[in-house]
Amino acid sequence: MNTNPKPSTQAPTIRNHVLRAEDLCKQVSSPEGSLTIVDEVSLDILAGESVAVTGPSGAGKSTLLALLAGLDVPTRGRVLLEGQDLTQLDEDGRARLRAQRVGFVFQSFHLIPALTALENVMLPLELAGRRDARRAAAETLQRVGLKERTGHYPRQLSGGEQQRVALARAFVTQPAVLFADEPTGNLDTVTGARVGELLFELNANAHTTLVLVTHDRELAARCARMVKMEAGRVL
Amino acid sequence: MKALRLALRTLAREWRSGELGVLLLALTVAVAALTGVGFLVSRISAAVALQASAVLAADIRLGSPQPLAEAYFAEAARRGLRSARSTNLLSVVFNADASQLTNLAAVSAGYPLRGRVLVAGEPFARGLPAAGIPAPGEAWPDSKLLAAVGGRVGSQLSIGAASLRVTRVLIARPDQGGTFAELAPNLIMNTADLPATHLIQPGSRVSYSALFAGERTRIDGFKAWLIVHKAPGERLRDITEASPQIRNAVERAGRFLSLASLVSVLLCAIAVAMAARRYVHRHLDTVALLKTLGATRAFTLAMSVLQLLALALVAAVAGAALGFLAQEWLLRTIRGLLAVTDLPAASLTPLAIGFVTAIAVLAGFAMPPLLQLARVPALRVLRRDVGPPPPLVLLAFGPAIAVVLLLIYWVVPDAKLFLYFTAALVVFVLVLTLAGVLLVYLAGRLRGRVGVAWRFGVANLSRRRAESVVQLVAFGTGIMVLLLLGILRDDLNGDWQRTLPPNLPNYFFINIPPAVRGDFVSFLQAQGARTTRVLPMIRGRLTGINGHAVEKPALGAQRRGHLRDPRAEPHLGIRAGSGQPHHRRPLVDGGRFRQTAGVAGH
Repeated sequence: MNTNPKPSTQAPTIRNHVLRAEDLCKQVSSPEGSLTIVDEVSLDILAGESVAVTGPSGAGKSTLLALLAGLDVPTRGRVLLEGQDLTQLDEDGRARLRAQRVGFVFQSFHLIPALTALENVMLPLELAGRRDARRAAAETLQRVGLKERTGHYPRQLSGGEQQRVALARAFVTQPAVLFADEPTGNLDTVTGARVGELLFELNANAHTTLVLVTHDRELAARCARMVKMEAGRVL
Repeated sequence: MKALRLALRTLAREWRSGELGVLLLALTVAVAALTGVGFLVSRISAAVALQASAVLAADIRLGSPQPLAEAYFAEAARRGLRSARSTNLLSVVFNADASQLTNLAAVSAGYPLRGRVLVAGEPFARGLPAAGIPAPGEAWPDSKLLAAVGGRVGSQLSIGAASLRVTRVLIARPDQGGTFAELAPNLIMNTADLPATHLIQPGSRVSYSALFAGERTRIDGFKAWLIVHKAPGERLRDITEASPQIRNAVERAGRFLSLASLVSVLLCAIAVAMAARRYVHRHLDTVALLKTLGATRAFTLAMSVLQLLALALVAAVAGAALGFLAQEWLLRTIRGLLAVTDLPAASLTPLAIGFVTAIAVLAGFAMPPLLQLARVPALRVLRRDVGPPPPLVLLAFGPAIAVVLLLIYWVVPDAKLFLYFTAALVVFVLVLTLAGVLLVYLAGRLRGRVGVAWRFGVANLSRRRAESVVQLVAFGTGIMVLLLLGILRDDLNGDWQRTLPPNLPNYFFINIPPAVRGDFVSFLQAQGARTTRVLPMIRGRLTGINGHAVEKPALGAQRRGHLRDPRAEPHLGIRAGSGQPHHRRPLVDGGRFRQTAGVAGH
C-alpha cells in the first residue's frame, strides 16, 4: 500500500472530477449482525461544484463524508480524490493528502482549546510545512472578521466566532475540497445564517469544491447540487 | 522540528491551564524522594569513610610485631599510593628524675596520611594542625605526659639512650585509638631517632605499622594484593573494619530510606499512571483533529514523546533541587547526632539517578497510554464513540512492571530478597485484582437496589469495569506499600535492638583503683546511673586451653585480613568475672587486674 499521495495519472475524463466515489459500501458489525451504513454509492463531483448531502438521521451522510475525505475506509468500492485512490493509501498517506488538498468544518468546531485563534488557524499550515503560517493565518482571520480576536482562546469566543475560526482554518490552506459536517448545527438561526453566508462567500472566492452534509434546508438549497440519502443509499 | 515546536507550545499552554499539574507534581516528588535520599546517604557514607580513615590515619594499615618488608612500600609506590611508617612501643620517658610509661610513636614523613595531627605551644591548649612531623632530635609529647613529668616546650626528654627536645605539645593524633594499651600518654618522634634510643631489643613489645592511602580503586586493588602477599601474623585493617558499627548503622538507615523513597516513587508512579490516563482521555479529540488536518501517526507520537521528555527534564531539575534542599534540611535537623560537622560535598550521582527515575517512571507508566493516544483514528472527529483500539496486555502493563522490578532490584540488590519481594507483590496484585473484579461484579448486582445517587456511581463502576479494577489495584498497592513501610520501620528498629544484649552499658570506666572502687560505684548510683558490674581486666597472652598448648591459627584464617583469631593475637584484653559476659566467651588467666565498670544511664 502506498504511503505517499502521487500526482494524478488518470485519464482526462477523471481529472475533471475532483472527487469520485465508485460503488462505495461500508458495513460494520453490531450485536444484531452486519449492518450496512453506506450501500453501493457512486458519485462524481466536479471541480468548484458545491454539493449538499441531505437526508434523515442515520441515513449514512456523515459516514459517506468520512469515506470521501479518507477519514474512514470503505468495506468495498473506492474513492478517487483528484485522481488519487484513497483506498490504496495507508492512514499516514491519507493524512498527508488531506494536509495538502482537503479542508474541514465540523458541527462542534473542533478547535484545540490550548491554542489561540491564530494558532488554531496556523495549525494546518504548520502541519503542511508552510513557513508563512503566521502571516497567512492572520490574513485569513482578518477575512472572517476576527482580526481583533487572534490572541483569544476558544473558550473566550462565542459559538459563531469559534465557527468562523474553524472556517478560517479550513480555507487557510486553499484546499481543493472542503468537507463541512453540519457547520451550522450548533448555532442559533441568526448566527447560523451568518456563518452559512461566510462559508459560501469564502467558497466562491477560493473556487473550492464543497461537500456539505446538513439538515438545514436553506443551507442545502444554496448548493449547486443536492444528494439525498436514505438507509445508506443515494436516492 | 515541527513536532518539537508544536509539542512545546501545547505543553506550555496545557501547563498554564493546569492540565499537567498532577503529572508534573507526581514526577517531581518521585525524583525529589530518590535524589534527596541519594544525596543524604552518599554524604553521610562519605563522612563515615573519612572519619574511619582518620581513625587509621590511612585508608589501609598493615600491622605486625615484626618489621615490615620493603616490598610492600615498593608495590604501593608502583601503584601510585602514598605510604608512611609508624613504629609504636611502650617505654618510660624521663624528664630529669620524673618518669612516665608512654606510648611512643616513631613516624616517618607523610604521617598521617588521613586525618590531622593537632599541636599547640603549651599543654591543654587548643590544637592547630601540624605542618609535618617532628624533625630529628625533636619530640611532641602530649599534655598528659608533660604534666606527669613536669615538662614544657623546650625541655629535654630522655627516651631510652636518646635525648629529644620538646618543640610542640601534641593535642591529638588520628590513630590515637582507645584500647587499653593506648591509654598511656602519647609522644610522637621522628623515626630517624629510633635507632639512637636503643629501645628495640630482642623481646621488645614493638608494633610496626605501614600506612597506605590513595584513590579508592587503587586502594582496593592494593588491598587484594596485600591479602595474598602479606606474611602470617601481619594484620590488615581498612575503613570497613575501623568503625563497623557506624557503617552498619548508616547502611541500615540508607537501606530503609531507599525503601521509603522507593515507596514514594511507586506511589508517584501510580499518580503518574492515573494522570496520564486522564491526559490521554482528554486529548483523544485533539489527536484525532491533528490527524484529520494531516498529522501522521509518527508526528503525533513524536509530539507525545517530546512532551514527556520535556516534562521529565523539568521534573528532574525541580525534583533534584527539592531533593538537595530536603537533604540539607535533614542534615541540619540531625546535625547534633553526627560526629562530623563538616560533611563532604554531595556527589552528582543522585542527579543522574533522579533523571533516570523520571524517564523510567514516565516510560513505564505514562508511555503506554500515550502510545495508545497516537493510535486514535481521525474518524473520531465525526464519531465520538470511536477510540483507539484496545492495547495489548503486554504493552499496557509490561513497561510498568519492568520499571517497578528494576526499581525494586535497585533498592534491594539481594537476589533472594528481590525474588521474595517480587513474588509477594505479584501474589498481592493478583489477589487484589480478583477482589476488585468480585467487588465490581457485586456492585453491578446492587445497582437496582440502591438510591439514585448511589446508582450513578455504581453504574459508572460497572460501565468502566476494567478501569475500575485497575484503579482499585493501583490504590490498594499504594496503601499496602505505605503500611508495609510502617511495619518495616518498627521491625528494623526492633531487630537492631534485639542484636544488642539486654542491659548493655552506655559508658565504660576503666583504671578504677581498687581503693576507691566502692565510693566510685556509690557515687554513680547516687547520680542515677545503674552499674551493671565491675570487672578486673589485664593484658595477657593466650598460651593454653584446658592444659593444651594453643595451636597456631590456620593460615587461611589469618590471610583473610579482617578476621581476628585470639590465638594469633600477641596481647589480649582479658577480663575476669563471676557471670557470663554479655556476648563473648570467657577467657581466664592469672595476673594483676585493673577494674572496669559498665554503666547504663542517661
